[in-house]
Amino acid sequence: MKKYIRITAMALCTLALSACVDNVPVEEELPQDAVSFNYRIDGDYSLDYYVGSVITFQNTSPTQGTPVWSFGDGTAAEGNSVEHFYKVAGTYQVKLTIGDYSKSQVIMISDIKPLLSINPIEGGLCEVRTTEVTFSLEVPNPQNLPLEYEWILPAGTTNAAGEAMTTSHDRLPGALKFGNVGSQTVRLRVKMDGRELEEGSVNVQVGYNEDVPTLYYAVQGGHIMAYKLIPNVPSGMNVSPFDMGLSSGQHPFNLLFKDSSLYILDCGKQFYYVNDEDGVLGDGKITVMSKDGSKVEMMLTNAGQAAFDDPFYGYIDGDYLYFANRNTGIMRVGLNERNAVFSHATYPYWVQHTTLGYYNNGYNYGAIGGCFGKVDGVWYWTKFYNGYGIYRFLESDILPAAITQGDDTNIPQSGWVLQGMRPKSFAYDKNNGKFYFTLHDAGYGGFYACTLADLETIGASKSKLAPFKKLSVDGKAFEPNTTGKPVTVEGSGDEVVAICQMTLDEATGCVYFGYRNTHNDATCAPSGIYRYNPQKDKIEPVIEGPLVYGLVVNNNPSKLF
Amino acid sequence: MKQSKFIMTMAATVLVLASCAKHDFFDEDTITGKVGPESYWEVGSAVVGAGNSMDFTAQYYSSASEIDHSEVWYDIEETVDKTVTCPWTVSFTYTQSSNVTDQKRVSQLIQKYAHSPELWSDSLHAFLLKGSFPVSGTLAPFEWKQPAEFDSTKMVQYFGATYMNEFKDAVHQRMKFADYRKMYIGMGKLDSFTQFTDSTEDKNQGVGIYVYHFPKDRVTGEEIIPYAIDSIWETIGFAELIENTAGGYYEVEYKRSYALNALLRVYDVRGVYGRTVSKKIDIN
Repeated sequence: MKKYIRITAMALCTLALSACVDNVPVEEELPQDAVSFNYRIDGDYSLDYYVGSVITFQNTSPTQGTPVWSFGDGTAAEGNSVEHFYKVAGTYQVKLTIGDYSKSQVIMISDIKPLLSINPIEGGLCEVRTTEVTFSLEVPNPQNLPLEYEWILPAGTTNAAGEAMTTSHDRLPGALKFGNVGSQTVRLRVKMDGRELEEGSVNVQVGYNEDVPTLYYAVQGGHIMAYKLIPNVPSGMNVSPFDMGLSSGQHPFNLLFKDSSLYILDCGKQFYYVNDEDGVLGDGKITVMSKDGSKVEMMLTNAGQAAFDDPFYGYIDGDYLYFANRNTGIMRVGLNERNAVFSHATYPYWVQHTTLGYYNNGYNYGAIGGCFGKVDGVWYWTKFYNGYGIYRFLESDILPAAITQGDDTNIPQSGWVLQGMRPKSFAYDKNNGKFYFTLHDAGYGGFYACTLADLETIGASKSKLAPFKKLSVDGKAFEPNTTGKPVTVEGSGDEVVAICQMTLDEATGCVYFGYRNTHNDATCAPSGIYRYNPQKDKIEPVIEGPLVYGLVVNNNPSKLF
Repeated sequence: MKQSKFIMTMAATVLVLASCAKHDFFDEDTITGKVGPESYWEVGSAVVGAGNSMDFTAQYYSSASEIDHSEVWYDIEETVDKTVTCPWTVSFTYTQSSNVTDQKRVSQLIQKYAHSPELWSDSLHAFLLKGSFPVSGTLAPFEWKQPAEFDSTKMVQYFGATYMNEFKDAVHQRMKFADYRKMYIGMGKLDSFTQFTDSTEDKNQGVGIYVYHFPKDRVTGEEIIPYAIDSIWETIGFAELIENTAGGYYEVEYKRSYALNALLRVYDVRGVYGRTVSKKIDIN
């Protein structure tokens, strides 16, 4: 009986299995909008959509009926394929209606504008006062209307004969030399049959005649800029920044440089506390720009993940870029990685609060960090909230597992300095043994220079800071907070942007930083880029005006980049 | 025991049979299109100069049909930043800013690339295409920033016809005594503000510390802005209001820039295409 039951059961199972049919999905036509259309320009200027260009609008709708077009400029037409041109530049909504259905799409019409370009330069580099530069010009002029030109040349421009030139009314200004270093903007105003077109311009990147370091900096709401650090600028020559054409992003607190690449750490829109309980407000990223700005790549993005995991501060050591989040720890990413998406699974903490013996024995949960990096082989990590100071450690001090309570046996031997003070950034010059740091404590905020031994002497005593505080040549301080009032309005009281990075010019020993005085506090220096000059023991203005976040020196000297 | 085994076996069989009526919910609830080529690409950079070309490298293959050709498509989006600041006030900082990003052209075919069997890469097990696509020179960023000379035509063109009046009204609503004083003296509208100034000792701040204000109504105790002050306000133009006399420029910025969202379509001979992910590329 058992045997029969088994046989019957097996037979039924086999029957059942063989009865199964694998339903291969049938390929079907995908649905589309009832009304759809596209537009194009054939022939010349097909990408430009100039005023006057004939545009073909093509109905691609499945709906049958008479296509009725409204071009957004008060004109209309009927037909499956219609041609139209716009008389005035602007943005128009084109609407196609077939029966009861309709669809609108946007089209931007560009005004004719002069397109300037620089002709290839022999050797590929424009040197100040030396290299002759010529230009090409294209002014689309389908109706062959009369044109008038007005070139506006930057200060210091000369013609091939060495004669100063400020303007030219020729179609092309001939060969020019530029007397100043930096982006030199050549502008061209053109009137077409008496109507002034939008101004055209081109930036000539004018380098120096000798190899010098380059300072890169990120301007708030602006671009990544570059500036040649020329020790003794020749008389009559000005040095202006190069616009690298890359947006700085939201809050690029740190820039890093290695080999021929600039790394931009942008912690995104939100850099101070926000209730991100769903962990989705992150929008920070690390971008890599080639030193000449010609190539930009995404290294790592934190978009759509926890806001506090955005990359705030960074340091390059060996083949890794180490990056700190807001208030928990430091991760690292290989320098060659591109288009990576951050997750703690892929980029686990290299060190975090709870894997150093300082936890609850120096700093506490959620201690907010600033710049970090290595000084003489020892890691320095600034903390300016919930455990102030610079916490030092060796890689061997990192504990294998998180702790909940520090104990004296776990505290790194390197120790903790500037206890109770709020450092944000630092730099170290091993050539003169000077350690530079900034504080943003009200009444003590500013720029300091001391030796590593002095750092130990200062200890936890703010009263010992005074001899090391540095002022501008006109006696102004660089306090991020003045009697409790942040001179920068960005951020919360505990998380002001302050001086968020310092960088060393190894050739001169000068230390550069951006200072933001958005309240125009007269007791403090105005906003801009400054440098501490160890030869003069003073802080000098370098570029007045810009509100600067991160900055870094490429210490490999070059004429241009 | 035997009976229960028999019943369980039969029940399992019935279950198996019932489950064999295959219910593919995805198939029932979705429309299955044709399988197009698989494709992947990387562009040379996240930025491209207006008037230049962007290099790219693409890999593609198809297990359903022969490849025919590929196409780059992109749309254009525009970002406009506008900032206007009145530098004359002290009791408040008045800046109007806006940042607007809009699509300006729909995704369009930009360039076609022929397919060739010679593109096959044994190591990648895919076709490898290296190419480039053009970007219009008209899409260069434009900036009108802190001009040394005010241009009302450009102001209207970039900010709209009503903007200047709206800005002036908004500043006016926020003006207090200290703002009028700084502004009118700074602009040279008045040599002295004394005749419009009254003061009150602020004992909360300390003995002998006075706060200054317009004369107050004796009944209500509220400050009254003198008629002369309001009259002067009417004479102040928008350009004066945003002039930074120390810097020698006007506190207005208009910045316009473009980005393109590009993707590659790879078509097979049936006209079915597969597409890569879209890459956003800023134009500079």
